[in-house]
Amino acid sequence: MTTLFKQELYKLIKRRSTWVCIVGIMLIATLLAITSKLYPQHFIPRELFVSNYAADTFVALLLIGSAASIISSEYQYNTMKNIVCQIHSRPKILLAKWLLLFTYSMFLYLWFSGFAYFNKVIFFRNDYSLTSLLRNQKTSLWEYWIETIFSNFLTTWLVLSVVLLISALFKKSNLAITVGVVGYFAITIIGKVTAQLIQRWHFLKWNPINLLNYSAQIAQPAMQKITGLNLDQLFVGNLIYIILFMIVGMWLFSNKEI
Amino acid sequence: MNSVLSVQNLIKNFKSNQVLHNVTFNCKKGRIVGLIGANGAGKTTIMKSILGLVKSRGAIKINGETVHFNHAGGVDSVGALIEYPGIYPYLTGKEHLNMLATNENKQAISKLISDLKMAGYIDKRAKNYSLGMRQKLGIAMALVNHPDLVILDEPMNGLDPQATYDLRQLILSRAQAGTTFLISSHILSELQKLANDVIVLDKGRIVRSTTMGELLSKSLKRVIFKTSDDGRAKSILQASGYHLELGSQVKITLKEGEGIEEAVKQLTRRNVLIEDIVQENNDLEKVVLNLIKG
Repeated sequence: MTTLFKQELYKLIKRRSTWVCIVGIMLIATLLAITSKLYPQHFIPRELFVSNYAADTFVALLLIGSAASIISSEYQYNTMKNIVCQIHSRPKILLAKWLLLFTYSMFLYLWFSGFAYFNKVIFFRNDYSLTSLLRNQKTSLWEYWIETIFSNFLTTWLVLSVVLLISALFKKSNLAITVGVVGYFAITIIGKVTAQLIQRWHFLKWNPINLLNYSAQIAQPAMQKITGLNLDQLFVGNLIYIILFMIVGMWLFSNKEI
Repeated sequence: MNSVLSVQNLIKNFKSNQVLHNVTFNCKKGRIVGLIGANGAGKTTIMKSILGLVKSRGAIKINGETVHFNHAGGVDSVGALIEYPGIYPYLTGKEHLNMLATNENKQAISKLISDLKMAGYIDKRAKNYSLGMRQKLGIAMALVNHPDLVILDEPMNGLDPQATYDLRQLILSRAQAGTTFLISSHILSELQKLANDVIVLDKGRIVRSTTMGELLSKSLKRVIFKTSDDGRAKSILQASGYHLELGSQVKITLKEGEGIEEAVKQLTRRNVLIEDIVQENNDLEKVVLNLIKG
């Protein structure tokens, strides 16, 4: 298991696209920080800082792509046979890949949070303070920032668990990527429809798309009227769905012939 | 000698189609075992079953430990190349070997690279490799950890004569050091030079499992006589009970244990002058074709 994890890490580090994507997101984040410095009335500096200068969205898309290809690329390169021959345990193979994706996601969120702080210090040293209180006069900016990062991380993992489930099922990544991207933007696309359905059939508040509202509800607590769930329920719901989708993915992959 | 690999009553179905029928064989330590059969005979499926890539019924043991679909105790000591090599295009050949090699085998990587003459390209990204280069890298990856059992499916695919020779030398030296090989190949002349034991498969069944020497020695031999009177020679030999092959040549087939002395005696006794005798030894290809034709 440790050997497999090390090999997965080795492959990730050696892949040129890993570094190109990270540098690309850093450039976008810096560009947005400069833009919000120049046009603060259109690009609100505090809001952009909380979203790590949009890095969170790009990180989520990068992780969706990685999750979709983490298994399918092994089929594409015919290397899945090497791995199965080496370890002979599909559950261990999948666990190593999940662990790598988790480590990678942790790294990306921490790195871009640190980078957002760096940009804040460089461009907005005297504009606003992390300890300043938000409009509700209860939460400080840094608390709001941390809560948003954490909720983004969790909801991204809800999408990733579905992507991993699909990628365990099929040998090509197309469907997993499509479902992942659509899933990530599902709230924007069909948010109103699901809200109406929840109003009509209350039990539908537990559907996974509704749980993606976790970050939005942290920013706007009034959203509880739409989601029908409080923050704790959204947190637990996300966690349960992640575990459920991953168990199904594990079962499907464990029975797969190569 | 101990069996490194034991396969007992292996059965495999693809839906309602049974492709392996109670396949049973053993591979002993240090032996090179050739798996021979036509396309679709079940060679790759046997190899995949041994490696736990597909589900099958029966008992497979590697170094005495049972192989299951998702668990195998003795699997640390198996190296394999199945169908075509699995290679990451963004890694160099050396990085592939470094990634797979255990700490105690890292130092032997250079020797393996030099044995397979890969030094010229081993530090280049694998996406630019030719078919032969990829094949050699796949073989190197199977051998890098000095496993007890190496399973190679068509290892000579895409290799030039020099690379085929180098690979043969490497396999022979590793076998001499105690590694067991299970090799399938359509290049039977190459397998004839390599294999100690042979398993011939036909439609998922083993039709012969023996040593290479025994298989070749027990096979039929053909003798061609060039005489002063071929027409008469044919009549004499036919009358003496020899099986004469069709064609203009005087060509007889000798049965097991039968020599040519008696045939020569029959011809000279009747004053037929023998100008030349050519003995055609059966090669593996002919033997296998005969076995499969049944």
